Amino acid sequence: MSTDIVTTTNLTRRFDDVTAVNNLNLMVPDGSIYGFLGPNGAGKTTTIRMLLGLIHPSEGEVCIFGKPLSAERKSVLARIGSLVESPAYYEHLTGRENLEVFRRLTDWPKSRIADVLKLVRLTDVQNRLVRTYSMGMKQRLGLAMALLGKPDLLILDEPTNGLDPAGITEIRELITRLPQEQGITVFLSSHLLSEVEQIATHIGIIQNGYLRFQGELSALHSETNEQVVVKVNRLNEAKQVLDQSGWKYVSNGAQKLSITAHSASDAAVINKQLVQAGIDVYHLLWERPSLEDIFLTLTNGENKS
Amino acid sequence: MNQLIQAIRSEQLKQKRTLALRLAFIAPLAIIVLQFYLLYQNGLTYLEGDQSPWVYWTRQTLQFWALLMAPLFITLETALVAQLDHKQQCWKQLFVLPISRWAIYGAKIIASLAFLALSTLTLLAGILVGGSICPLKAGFGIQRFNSVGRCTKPARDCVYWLLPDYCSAFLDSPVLVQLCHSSWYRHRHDRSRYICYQFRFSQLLSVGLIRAGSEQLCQRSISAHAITAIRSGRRCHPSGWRMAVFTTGCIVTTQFHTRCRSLITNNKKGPDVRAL
Repeated sequence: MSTDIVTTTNLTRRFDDVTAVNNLNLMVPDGSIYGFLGPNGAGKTTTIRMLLGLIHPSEGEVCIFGKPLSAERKSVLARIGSLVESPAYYEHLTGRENLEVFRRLTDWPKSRIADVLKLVRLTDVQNRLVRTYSMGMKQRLGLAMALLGKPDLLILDEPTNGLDPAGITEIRELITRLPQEQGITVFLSSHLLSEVEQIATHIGIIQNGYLRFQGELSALHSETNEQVVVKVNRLNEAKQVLDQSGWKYVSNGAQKLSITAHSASDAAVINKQLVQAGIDVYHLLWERPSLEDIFLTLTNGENKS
Repeated sequence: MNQLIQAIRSEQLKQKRTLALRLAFIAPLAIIVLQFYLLYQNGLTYLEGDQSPWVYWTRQTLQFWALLMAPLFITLETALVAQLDHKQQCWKQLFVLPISRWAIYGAKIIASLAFLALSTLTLLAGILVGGSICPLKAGFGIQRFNSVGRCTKPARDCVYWLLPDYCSAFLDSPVLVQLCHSSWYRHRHDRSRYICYQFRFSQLLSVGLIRAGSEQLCQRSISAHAITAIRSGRRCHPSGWRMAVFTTGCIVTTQFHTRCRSLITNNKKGPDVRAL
Protein backbone atom coordinates (compact mmCIF):
# COMPACT_ATOMS: atom_id res chain seq x y z
CA MET A 1 0.00 0.00 0.00
CA SER A 2 1.57 3.21 -1.12
CA THR A 3 1.27 6.40 0.84
CA ASP A 4 -0.77 9.35 -0.29
CA ILE A 5 1.18 12.37 -1.49
CA VAL A 6 -1.76 14.74 -1.61
CA THR A 7 -4.66 14.55 0.78
CA THR A 8 -7.39 17.11 1.25
CA THR A 9 -9.89 17.04 4.07
CA ASN A 10 -13.31 18.59 3.53
CA LEU A 11 -11.84 21.12 1.14
CA THR A 12 -14.44 23.81 0.42
CA ARG A 13 -14.23 27.06 -1.48
CA ARG A 14 -17.00 29.61 -1.86
CA PHE A 15 -17.03 32.63 -4.15
CA ASP A 16 -19.59 35.03 -2.79
CA ASP A 17 -22.73 32.87 -3.03
CA VAL A 18 -21.33 30.18 -5.34
CA THR A 19 -19.75 27.10 -3.82
CA ALA A 20 -17.14 26.06 -6.35
CA VAL A 21 -15.69 23.18 -4.40
CA ASN A 22 -17.61 21.26 -1.80
CA ASN A 23 -16.18 18.93 0.87
CA LEU A 24 -13.52 17.49 -1.35
CA ASN A 25 -11.49 14.58 0.05
CA LEU A 26 -8.77 13.82 -2.46
CA MET A 27 -6.19 11.08 -2.06
CA VAL A 28 -3.37 10.98 -4.57
CA PRO A 29 -1.08 7.95 -4.12
CA ASP A 30 2.69 8.15 -4.49
CA GLY A 31 3.98 7.48 -7.99
CA SER A 32 0.59 7.59 -9.64
CA ILE A 33 -0.75 9.59 -12.53
CA TYR A 34 -3.92 10.98 -11.07
CA GLY A 35 -6.49 12.15 -13.60
CA PHE A 36 -8.79 14.79 -12.19
CA LEU A 37 -11.87 14.85 -14.37
CA GLY A 38 -14.86 17.08 -14.63
CA PRO A 39 -16.84 19.19 -17.06
CA ASN A 40 -16.09 22.89 -17.44
CA GLY A 41 -16.92 24.82 -14.30
CA ALA A 42 -16.91 21.73 -12.08
CA GLY A 43 -14.26 23.19 -9.78
CA LYS A 44 -11.11 21.59 -11.16
CA THR A 45 -9.09 24.76 -11.50
CA THR A 46 -10.30 26.07 -8.16
CA THR A 47 -9.15 22.85 -6.52
CA ILE A 48 -5.76 23.04 -8.21
CA ARG A 49 -5.33 26.63 -7.15
CA MET A 50 -6.03 25.62 -3.59
CA LEU A 51 -3.52 22.78 -3.87
CA LEU A 52 -0.92 25.33 -4.92
CA GLY A 53 -1.86 27.89 -2.30
CA LEU A 54 -2.88 30.45 -4.93
CA ILE A 55 -6.21 30.85 -3.17
CA HIS A 56 -7.18 29.99 0.37
CA PRO A 57 -9.83 27.36 1.03
CA SER A 58 -12.98 28.58 2.79
CA GLU A 59 -12.92 25.41 4.86
CA GLY A 60 -10.86 22.28 5.08
CA GLU A 61 -7.19 21.63 4.65
CA VAL A 62 -4.66 20.60 2.03
CA CYS A 63 -1.85 18.25 3.03
CA ILE A 64 1.00 17.64 0.60
CA PHE A 65 3.89 15.29 1.43
CA GLY A 66 2.16 14.88 4.77
CA LYS A 67 2.58 18.54 5.66
CA PRO A 68 -0.22 21.09 5.89
CA LEU A 69 0.15 23.54 3.00
CA SER A 70 -0.98 26.55 4.99
CA ALA A 71 1.72 26.11 7.61
CA GLU A 72 4.65 24.96 5.49
CA ARG A 73 3.94 26.67 2.19
CA LYS A 74 7.53 27.26 1.13
CA SER A 75 8.98 23.83 1.86
CA VAL A 76 6.00 22.16 0.18
CA LEU A 77 6.01 24.41 -2.89
CA ALA A 78 9.73 23.80 -3.34
CA ARG A 79 8.89 20.19 -4.25
CA ILE A 80 5.99 20.95 -6.61
CA GLY A 81 6.06 21.85 -10.27
CA SER A 82 2.92 23.26 -11.80
CA LEU A 83 1.31 24.33 -15.03
CA VAL A 84 -2.02 26.00 -14.40
CA GLU A 85 -4.21 26.44 -17.49
CA SER A 86 -2.27 28.34 -20.13
CA PRO A 87 1.49 28.38 -19.61
CA ALA A 88 2.96 31.57 -18.16
CA TYR A 89 5.76 33.01 -20.24
CA TYR A 90 7.31 36.31 -21.24
CA GLU A 91 6.87 36.80 -24.97
CA HIS A 92 9.73 39.25 -25.40
CA LEU A 93 12.29 36.82 -24.00
CA THR A 94 13.74 33.68 -25.50
CA GLY A 95 12.79 30.26 -24.24
CA ARG A 96 16.05 29.97 -22.37
CA GLU A 97 15.71 33.41 -20.80
CA ASN A 98 12.21 32.52 -19.66
CA LEU A 99 13.56 29.56 -17.72
CA GLU A 100 16.39 31.71 -16.42
CA VAL A 101 13.89 34.24 -15.02
CA PHE A 102 12.33 31.51 -12.91
CA ARG A 103 15.64 29.89 -12.07
CA ARG A 104 17.03 33.13 -10.70
CA LEU A 105 14.16 33.30 -8.23
CA THR A 106 15.31 30.10 -6.58
CA ASP A 107 18.53 28.30 -5.84
CA TRP A 108 18.25 25.73 -8.61
CA PRO A 109 21.50 25.06 -10.45
CA LYS A 110 22.02 26.57 -13.88
CA SER A 111 22.52 23.17 -15.49
CA ARG A 112 18.86 22.37 -14.86
CA ILE A 113 17.87 24.68 -17.72
CA ALA A 114 19.71 22.60 -20.31
CA ASP A 115 18.32 19.44 -18.72
CA VAL A 116 14.68 20.46 -18.90
CA LEU A 117 15.07 21.95 -22.37
CA LYS A 118 16.37 18.59 -23.51
CA LEU A 119 13.58 16.78 -21.68
CA VAL A 120 10.85 18.74 -23.47
CA ARG A 121 12.86 18.80 -26.72
CA LEU A 122 13.16 22.58 -27.01
CA THR A 123 16.95 22.72 -27.19
CA ASP A 124 16.92 23.65 -30.89
CA VAL A 125 14.69 26.68 -30.43
CA GLN A 126 15.94 27.82 -27.04
CA ASN A 127 17.34 31.09 -28.41
CA ARG A 128 14.24 32.11 -30.31
CA LEU A 129 11.80 34.62 -28.86
CA VAL A 130 8.84 32.90 -27.27
CA ARG A 131 6.60 35.18 -29.36
CA THR A 132 7.56 33.09 -32.38
CA TYR A 133 6.85 29.73 -30.71
CA SER A 134 3.95 27.53 -31.73
CA MET A 135 1.23 26.62 -29.23
CA GLY A 136 2.80 23.21 -28.66
CA MET A 137 6.22 24.73 -28.03
CA LYS A 138 4.76 27.20 -25.54
CA GLN A 139 2.98 24.39 -23.77
CA ARG A 140 6.20 22.39 -23.62
CA LEU A 141 8.00 25.46 -22.32
CA GLY A 142 5.35 25.61 -19.58
CA LEU A 143 6.11 21.99 -18.76
CA ALA A 144 9.82 22.78 -18.70
CA MET A 145 9.15 25.53 -16.17
CA ALA A 146 7.16 23.09 -14.06
CA LEU A 147 10.00 20.58 -14.18
CA LEU A 148 12.76 23.11 -13.51
CA GLY A 149 12.87 22.58 -9.75
CA LYS A 150 13.12 18.77 -9.92
CA PRO A 151 9.68 18.39 -8.40
CA ASP A 152 8.38 15.28 -6.67
CA LEU A 153 4.84 16.26 -7.57
CA LEU A 154 3.71 17.73 -10.84
CA ILE A 155 0.37 19.52 -10.92
CA LEU A 156 -0.95 20.15 -14.41
CA ASP A 157 -4.21 21.89 -15.20
CA GLU A 158 -5.51 20.98 -18.66
CA PRO A 159 -2.02 20.40 -20.09
CA THR A 160 -3.37 19.56 -23.56
CA ASN A 161 -5.76 22.50 -23.79
CA GLY A 162 -5.76 24.11 -27.22
CA LEU A 163 -3.27 21.70 -28.77
CA ASP A 164 -3.66 19.84 -32.04
CA PRO A 165 -3.66 16.00 -32.01
CA ALA A 166 0.08 15.84 -32.67
CA GLY A 167 0.77 18.21 -29.79
CA ILE A 168 -1.52 16.21 -27.52
CA THR A 169 0.33 12.99 -28.32
CA GLU A 170 3.63 14.70 -27.62
CA ILE A 171 2.55 16.02 -24.23
CA ARG A 172 0.95 12.71 -23.39
CA GLU A 173 4.16 10.84 -24.12
CA LEU A 174 6.08 13.25 -21.95
CA ILE A 175 3.67 12.89 -19.05
CA THR A 176 3.70 9.10 -19.14
CA ARG A 177 7.49 9.11 -19.25
CA LEU A 178 7.89 11.21 -16.13
CA PRO A 179 6.75 8.82 -13.38
CA GLN A 180 8.80 6.00 -14.88
CA GLU A 181 12.00 7.95 -15.45
CA GLN A 182 12.02 10.41 -12.60
CA GLY A 183 9.63 8.97 -10.05
CA ILE A 184 7.36 11.98 -10.20
CA THR A 185 3.75 11.82 -9.11
CA VAL A 186 1.53 13.57 -11.63
CA PHE A 187 -1.78 15.21 -10.80
CA LEU A 188 -3.51 16.36 -13.95
CA SER A 189 -6.92 17.76 -14.64
CA SER A 190 -8.80 17.50 -17.86
CA HIS A 191 -12.22 17.48 -19.42
CA LEU A 192 -10.91 15.34 -22.25
CA LEU A 193 -11.90 11.98 -20.86
CA SER A 194 -10.34 9.82 -23.54
CA GLU A 195 -7.12 11.68 -22.86
CA VAL A 196 -6.98 10.82 -19.17
CA GLU A 197 -8.09 7.25 -19.77
CA GLN A 198 -4.96 6.61 -21.77
CA ILE A 199 -2.42 7.83 -19.26
CA ALA A 200 -3.92 7.88 -15.78
CA THR A 201 -3.58 5.15 -13.19
CA HIS A 202 -5.98 6.77 -10.75
CA ILE A 203 -9.08 8.80 -11.40
CA GLY A 204 -11.06 11.41 -9.51
CA ILE A 205 -14.28 12.74 -10.98
CA ILE A 206 -15.68 16.05 -9.85
CA GLN A 207 -18.97 17.63 -10.75
CA ASN A 208 -20.54 20.82 -9.43
CA GLY A 209 -17.88 20.88 -6.75
CA TYR A 210 -18.61 17.37 -5.45
CA LEU A 211 -16.30 14.41 -5.83
CA ARG A 212 -18.26 11.70 -7.66
CA PHE A 213 -15.71 8.95 -7.87
CA GLN A 214 -12.18 8.30 -6.73
CA GLY A 215 -9.98 5.28 -7.14
CA GLU A 216 -7.97 3.26 -9.59
CA LEU A 217 -8.92 3.34 -13.23
CA SER A 218 -9.61 -0.42 -13.17
CA ALA A 219 -11.94 0.05 -10.20
CA LEU A 220 -13.93 2.54 -12.20
CA HIS A 221 -14.31 0.04 -15.01
CA SER A 222 -15.36 -2.79 -12.73
CA GLU A 223 -17.91 -0.56 -11.05
CA THR A 224 -19.72 -0.15 -14.32
CA ASN A 225 -20.97 -3.12 -16.29
CA GLU A 226 -20.01 -4.12 -19.75
CA GLN A 227 -22.57 -4.72 -22.43
CA VAL A 228 -23.16 -7.25 -25.13
CA VAL A 229 -25.00 -5.83 -28.11
CA VAL A 230 -26.67 -8.36 -30.39
CA LYS A 231 -28.64 -8.02 -33.58
CA VAL A 232 -31.12 -10.83 -34.13
CA ASN A 233 -33.81 -11.76 -36.65
CA ARG A 234 -36.65 -12.55 -34.22
CA LEU A 235 -36.60 -10.00 -31.45
CA ASN A 236 -39.49 -11.24 -29.29
CA GLU A 237 -38.28 -14.83 -29.22
CA ALA A 238 -34.80 -13.65 -28.32
CA LYS A 239 -36.23 -11.64 -25.46
CA GLN A 240 -37.99 -14.75 -24.14
CA VAL A 241 -34.77 -16.74 -24.27
CA LEU A 242 -32.91 -14.04 -22.40
CA ASP A 243 -35.68 -13.73 -19.80
CA GLN A 244 -35.54 -17.43 -19.13
CA SER A 245 -31.80 -17.33 -18.53
CA GLY A 246 -32.14 -14.26 -16.32
CA TRP A 247 -30.19 -11.69 -18.36
CA LYS A 248 -30.95 -8.02 -18.00
CA TYR A 249 -31.36 -6.22 -21.28
CA VAL A 250 -32.69 -3.14 -23.03
CA SER A 251 -34.04 -3.03 -26.51
CA ASN A 252 -32.39 -0.34 -28.52
CA GLY A 253 -33.72 0.10 -32.02
CA ALA A 254 -34.94 -2.46 -34.49
CA GLN A 255 -33.73 -5.98 -33.79
CA LYS A 256 -31.01 -4.77 -31.46
CA LEU A 257 -30.61 -5.69 -27.80
CA SER A 258 -28.13 -4.41 -25.25
CA ILE A 259 -27.51 -7.01 -22.59
CA THR A 260 -25.75 -6.32 -19.33
CA ALA A 261 -22.77 -8.61 -18.96
CA HIS A 262 -19.82 -8.96 -16.58
CA SER A 263 -17.11 -10.49 -18.69
CA ALA A 264 -16.24 -11.34 -22.24
CA SER A 265 -17.17 -14.99 -21.70
CA ASP A 266 -20.75 -13.89 -21.05
CA ALA A 267 -20.92 -12.88 -24.70
CA ALA A 268 -20.15 -16.44 -25.76
CA VAL A 269 -22.78 -17.83 -23.40
CA ILE A 270 -25.44 -15.45 -24.69
CA ASN A 271 -24.54 -16.27 -28.27
CA LYS A 272 -24.78 -20.01 -27.62
CA GLN A 273 -28.16 -19.71 -25.90
CA LEU A 274 -29.60 -17.64 -28.71
CA VAL A 275 -28.28 -19.90 -31.45
CA GLN A 276 -29.47 -23.06 -29.65
CA ALA A 277 -32.97 -21.51 -29.49
CA GLY A 278 -32.84 -21.25 -33.29
CA ILE A 279 -32.42 -17.50 -33.47
CA ASP A 280 -30.05 -16.06 -36.05
CA VAL A 281 -27.47 -13.71 -34.62
CA TYR A 282 -26.33 -11.21 -37.25
CA HIS A 283 -24.10 -9.13 -35.12
CA LEU A 284 -22.54 -9.51 -31.72
CA LEU A 285 -20.46 -6.86 -30.00
CA TRP A 286 -18.87 -6.88 -26.59
CA GLU A 287 -18.78 -3.31 -25.38
CA ARG A 288 -16.58 -2.03 -22.61
CA PRO A 289 -17.92 1.39 -21.74
CA SER A 290 -15.42 4.17 -22.25
CA LEU A 291 -14.73 6.64 -19.52
CA GLU A 292 -16.91 8.97 -21.52
CA ASP A 293 -19.95 6.76 -21.00
CA ILE A 294 -19.15 6.16 -17.34
CA PHE A 295 -18.74 9.83 -16.88
CA LEU A 296 -22.05 10.61 -18.53
CA THR A 297 -23.84 8.02 -16.41
CA LEU A 298 -22.29 9.41 -13.26
CA THR A 299 -23.04 13.02 -14.09
CA ASN A 300 -26.44 12.56 -15.69
CA GLY A 301 -27.61 10.49 -12.76
CA GLU A 302 -26.95 13.48 -10.59
CA ASN A 303 -28.77 15.87 -12.88
CA LYS A 304 -31.93 13.80 -12.79
CA SER A 305 -32.06 13.27 -9.04
CA MET B 1 16.77 39.65 1.92
CA ASN B 2 18.44 36.96 -0.10
CA GLN B 3 15.12 36.27 -1.78
CA LEU B 4 14.68 39.93 -2.61
CA ILE B 5 18.05 39.98 -4.36
CA GLN B 6 17.09 36.86 -6.31
CA ALA B 7 13.81 38.48 -7.28
CA ILE B 8 15.58 41.67 -8.38
CA ARG B 9 18.00 39.72 -10.54
CA SER B 10 15.11 37.88 -12.12
CA GLU B 11 13.28 41.17 -12.67
CA GLN B 12 16.39 42.60 -14.28
CA LEU B 13 16.39 39.86 -16.91
CA LYS B 14 12.65 40.21 -17.39
CA GLN B 15 12.94 43.89 -18.33
CA LYS B 16 15.22 43.13 -21.25
CA ARG B 17 13.87 44.44 -24.58
CA THR B 18 10.82 46.07 -22.97
CA LEU B 19 9.14 49.36 -23.74
CA ALA B 20 9.56 50.25 -20.07
CA LEU B 21 13.32 50.31 -20.48
CA ARG B 22 13.22 52.43 -23.63
CA LEU B 23 10.69 54.78 -22.09
CA ALA B 24 13.07 55.62 -19.25
CA PHE B 25 15.22 57.37 -21.86
CA ILE B 26 12.55 58.55 -24.27
CA ALA B 27 10.38 60.43 -21.74
CA PRO B 28 13.06 62.76 -20.28
CA LEU B 29 14.68 63.27 -23.67
CA ALA B 30 11.33 64.31 -25.14
CA ILE B 31 11.05 67.00 -22.45
CA ILE B 32 14.59 68.17 -23.06
CA VAL B 33 14.11 68.40 -26.81
CA LEU B 34 10.82 70.27 -26.48
CA GLN B 35 12.14 72.65 -23.87
CA PHE B 36 15.32 73.20 -25.77
CA TYR B 37 13.35 74.08 -28.87
CA LEU B 38 11.23 76.58 -26.94
CA LEU B 39 14.25 78.13 -25.28
CA TYR B 40 16.27 78.28 -28.43
CA GLN B 41 13.48 79.83 -30.49
CA ASN B 42 11.85 82.18 -28.01
CA GLY B 43 14.10 82.12 -24.98
CA LEU B 44 15.42 85.61 -25.55
CA THR B 45 11.98 87.18 -25.19
CA TYR B 46 11.50 85.55 -21.77
CA LEU B 47 14.92 86.30 -20.39
CA GLU B 48 15.07 89.69 -18.83
CA GLY B 49 17.85 91.69 -17.31
CA ASP B 50 20.73 89.66 -16.10
CA GLN B 51 18.66 86.64 -15.06
CA SER B 52 20.69 83.51 -15.39
CA PRO B 53 19.55 81.54 -18.44
CA TRP B 54 20.77 78.46 -16.61
CA VAL B 55 18.25 79.02 -13.83
CA TYR B 56 15.50 79.77 -16.33
CA TRP B 57 16.27 76.73 -18.47
CA THR B 58 16.69 74.32 -15.59
CA ARG B 59 13.55 75.52 -13.84
CA GLN B 60 11.40 75.38 -16.94
CA THR B 61 12.57 71.87 -17.73
CA LEU B 62 12.16 70.63 -14.17
CA GLN B 63 8.67 72.10 -13.92
CA PHE B 64 7.61 70.57 -17.19
CA TRP B 65 8.93 67.25 -15.94
CA ALA B 66 7.45 67.49 -12.44
CA LEU B 67 4.01 68.71 -13.41
CA LEU B 68 3.27 66.89 -16.62
CA MET B 69 5.73 64.25 -17.67
CA ALA B 70 6.71 62.65 -14.36
CA PRO B 71 3.16 61.65 -13.30
CA LEU B 72 2.41 60.30 -16.77
CA PHE B 73 5.76 58.61 -17.01
CA ILE B 74 5.45 56.96 -13.62
CA THR B 75 1.92 55.81 -14.31
CA LEU B 76 2.90 54.25 -17.61
CA GLU B 77 6.17 52.88 -16.32
CA THR B 78 4.67 51.10 -13.33
CA ALA B 79 1.81 49.87 -15.50
CA LEU B 80 4.27 48.39 -17.96
CA VAL B 81 6.27 46.76 -15.19
CA ALA B 82 3.11 45.28 -13.73
CA GLN B 83 1.56 44.33 -17.06
CA LEU B 84 4.54 42.18 -17.90
CA ASP B 85 3.39 39.61 -15.39
CA HIS B 86 -0.31 40.15 -15.93
CA LYS B 87 -0.29 39.54 -19.65
CA GLN B 88 0.32 35.81 -19.65
CA GLN B 89 -0.80 35.33 -16.05
CA CYS B 90 2.75 34.90 -14.91
CA TRP B 91 1.70 35.69 -11.36
CA LYS B 92 0.42 32.21 -10.82
CA GLN B 93 3.78 30.80 -11.87
CA LEU B 94 5.62 33.23 -9.60
CA PHE B 95 3.43 32.66 -6.58
CA VAL B 96 3.83 28.90 -6.63
CA LEU B 97 7.58 29.27 -6.29
CA PRO B 98 9.04 28.78 -2.84
CA ILE B 99 9.65 32.49 -2.44
CA SER B 100 7.81 35.09 -0.43
CA ARG B 101 5.33 37.29 -2.25
CA TRP B 102 6.76 40.41 -0.73
CA ALA B 103 10.09 39.69 -2.38
CA ILE B 104 8.33 39.58 -5.75
CA TYR B 105 6.36 42.75 -5.09
CA GLY B 106 9.44 44.41 -3.64
CA ALA B 107 11.47 43.60 -6.74
CA LYS B 108 8.74 45.15 -8.89
CA ILE B 109 8.82 48.39 -6.92
CA ILE B 110 12.59 48.45 -6.98
CA ALA B 111 12.55 47.88 -10.75
CA SER B 112 10.22 50.86 -11.19
CA LEU B 113 12.38 52.96 -8.89
CA ALA B 114 15.42 51.99 -10.93
CA PHE B 115 13.67 53.14 -14.10
CA LEU B 116 12.78 56.36 -12.31
CA ALA B 117 16.40 56.89 -11.30
CA LEU B 118 17.48 56.18 -14.84
CA SER B 119 15.06 58.75 -16.25
CA THR B 120 16.08 61.31 -13.60
CA LEU B 121 19.73 60.90 -14.53
CA THR B 122 18.84 61.19 -18.21
CA LEU B 123 16.92 64.39 -17.48
CA LEU B 124 19.78 65.93 -15.49
CA ALA B 125 22.28 64.94 -18.16
CA GLY B 126 19.94 66.41 -20.76
CA ILE B 127 19.75 69.69 -18.83
CA LEU B 128 23.53 69.90 -18.73
CA VAL B 129 23.95 69.07 -22.41
CA GLY B 130 21.07 71.30 -23.50
CA GLY B 131 22.37 74.20 -21.44
CA SER B 132 25.82 73.75 -22.91
CA ILE B 133 24.51 73.88 -26.47
CA CYS B 134 22.57 77.11 -25.84
CA PRO B 135 25.64 79.40 -26.11
CA LEU B 136 25.75 78.48 -29.78
CA LYS B 137 23.11 81.11 -30.20
CA ALA B 138 24.38 84.56 -29.47
CA GLY B 139 22.49 86.81 -27.13
CA PHE B 140 21.78 84.40 -24.30
CA GLY B 141 24.93 85.28 -22.56
CA ILE B 142 24.73 81.79 -21.14
CA GLN B 143 28.48 81.51 -21.40
CA ARG B 144 28.76 84.13 -18.70
CA PHE B 145 27.08 81.79 -16.24
CA ASN B 146 28.23 78.49 -14.93
CA SER B 147 25.93 75.54 -14.77
CA VAL B 148 24.70 76.21 -11.25
CA GLY B 149 23.91 79.85 -11.88
CA ARG B 150 25.56 83.19 -12.08
CA CYS B 151 29.27 83.21 -11.75
CA THR B 152 29.12 86.58 -10.06
CA LYS B 153 27.37 85.07 -7.05
CA PRO B 154 28.43 82.11 -4.95
CA ALA B 155 27.25 78.83 -6.44
CA ARG B 156 25.56 77.91 -3.16
CA ASP B 157 23.05 80.68 -3.74
CA CYS B 158 21.97 79.25 -7.01
CA VAL B 159 21.76 75.74 -5.67
CA TYR B 160 19.47 77.14 -3.01
CA TRP B 161 17.53 78.98 -5.69
CA LEU B 162 16.83 75.80 -7.58
CA LEU B 163 16.53 73.48 -4.58
CA PRO B 164 12.72 73.75 -4.39
CA ASP B 165 12.51 72.92 -8.07
CA TYR B 166 14.61 69.83 -7.62
CA CYS B 167 12.49 68.88 -4.62
CA SER B 168 9.17 69.26 -6.37
CA ALA B 169 10.51 67.54 -9.45
CA PHE B 170 12.00 64.48 -7.84
CA LEU B 171 10.94 64.05 -4.22
CA ASP B 172 7.40 62.85 -4.71
CA SER B 173 8.21 60.58 -7.64
CA PRO B 174 9.23 57.53 -5.59
CA VAL B 175 6.04 57.92 -3.59
CA LEU B 176 4.06 58.07 -6.81
CA VAL B 177 5.73 54.87 -7.94
CA GLN B 178 4.50 53.06 -4.86
CA LEU B 179 1.11 54.68 -5.18
CA CYS B 180 0.69 53.38 -8.70
CA HIS B 181 1.97 49.96 -7.80
CA SER B 182 -0.42 49.48 -4.93
CA SER B 183 -3.23 50.32 -7.30
CA TRP B 184 -2.12 47.87 -10.00
CA TYR B 185 -1.91 44.96 -7.62
CA ARG B 186 -5.27 45.38 -5.97
CA HIS B 187 -7.50 42.42 -6.56
CA ARG B 188 -11.08 41.72 -5.76
CA HIS B 189 -10.58 38.65 -3.67
CA ASP B 190 -7.42 39.78 -2.07
CA ARG B 191 -7.70 40.50 1.59
CA SER B 192 -4.96 43.08 1.34
CA ARG B 193 -7.08 45.43 -0.75
CA TYR B 194 -8.27 47.28 2.33
CA ILE B 195 -4.70 47.75 3.42
CA CYS B 196 -3.97 49.01 -0.06
CA TYR B 197 -6.72 51.60 0.18
CA GLN B 198 -5.32 52.92 3.43
CA PHE B 199 -1.88 52.79 1.96
CA ARG B 200 -2.96 54.81 -1.04
CA PHE B 201 -4.73 57.36 1.10
CA SER B 202 -1.69 57.92 3.26
CA GLN B 203 0.45 58.13 0.17
CA LEU B 204 -1.82 60.66 -1.48
CA LEU B 205 -1.51 62.68 1.68
CA SER B 206 2.27 62.50 1.63
CA VAL B 207 2.41 63.46 -2.05
CA GLY B 208 0.26 66.47 -1.22
CA LEU B 209 2.47 67.34 1.75
CA ILE B 210 5.64 67.13 -0.28
CA ARG B 211 4.13 69.32 -2.97
CA ALA B 212 2.86 71.82 -0.42
CA GLY B 213 6.23 71.68 1.32
CA SER B 214 8.18 72.41 -1.80
CA GLU B 215 5.73 75.23 -2.56
CA GLN B 216 6.44 76.65 0.88
CA LEU B 217 10.12 76.33 0.28
CA CYS B 218 9.70 78.22 -2.97
CA GLN B 219 7.85 81.03 -1.27
CA ARG B 220 10.52 81.23 1.38
CA SER B 221 13.28 81.25 -1.12
CA ILE B 222 11.42 83.91 -3.06
CA SER B 223 11.20 86.16 -0.05
CA ALA B 224 14.78 85.41 0.89
CA HIS B 225 15.87 86.36 -2.55
CA ALA B 226 13.27 89.02 -3.08
CA ILE B 227 15.75 91.39 -4.57
CA THR B 228 16.97 88.81 -7.08
CA ALA B 229 13.40 88.00 -7.90
CA ILE B 230 12.53 91.61 -8.50
CA ARG B 231 15.66 92.16 -10.48
CA SER B 232 14.91 89.19 -12.64
CA GLY B 233 11.55 90.85 -13.20
CA ARG B 234 9.60 87.61 -12.97
CA ARG B 235 7.88 85.75 -10.24
CA CYS B 236 9.43 82.37 -10.18
CA HIS B 237 6.42 80.36 -9.10
CA PRO B 238 3.19 82.09 -10.00
CA SER B 239 0.97 80.00 -7.77
CA GLY B 240 -2.18 80.43 -9.84
CA TRP B 241 -0.54 79.20 -12.99
CA ARG B 242 1.15 76.42 -11.11
CA MET B 243 -2.06 75.26 -9.50
CA ALA B 244 -3.89 75.30 -12.83
CA VAL B 245 -1.25 73.16 -14.47
CA PHE B 246 -1.14 70.88 -11.45
CA THR B 247 -4.93 70.37 -11.51
CA THR B 248 -4.92 69.70 -15.24
CA GLY B 249 -2.01 67.37 -14.73
CA CYS B 250 -3.94 65.54 -12.02
CA ILE B 251 -7.01 65.15 -14.23
CA VAL B 252 -4.95 63.98 -17.17
CA THR B 253 -3.01 61.60 -14.93
CA THR B 254 -6.15 60.16 -13.38
CA GLN B 255 -7.60 59.59 -16.83
CA PHE B 256 -4.35 58.09 -17.95
CA HIS B 257 -4.21 55.95 -14.85
CA THR B 258 -7.67 54.58 -15.60
CA ARG B 259 -6.65 53.85 -19.20
CA CYS B 260 -3.56 52.03 -17.99
CA ARG B 261 -5.65 50.09 -15.51
CA SER B 262 -7.95 48.90 -18.27
CA LEU B 263 -4.85 48.07 -20.28
CA ILE B 264 -3.90 45.68 -17.54
CA THR B 265 -7.26 44.30 -16.53
CA ASN B 266 -9.35 44.28 -19.71
CA ASN B 267 -7.19 42.28 -22.01
CA LYS B 268 -8.56 38.89 -22.87
CA LYS B 269 -6.32 36.97 -20.58
CA GLY B 270 -6.46 39.53 -17.83
CA PRO B 271 -5.69 38.65 -14.26
CA ASP B 272 -8.11 36.16 -12.85
CA VAL B 273 -9.49 37.67 -9.69
CA ARG B 274 -9.95 34.20 -8.35
CA ALA B 275 -6.29 33.41 -8.67
CA LEU B 276 -4.84 36.38 -6.95
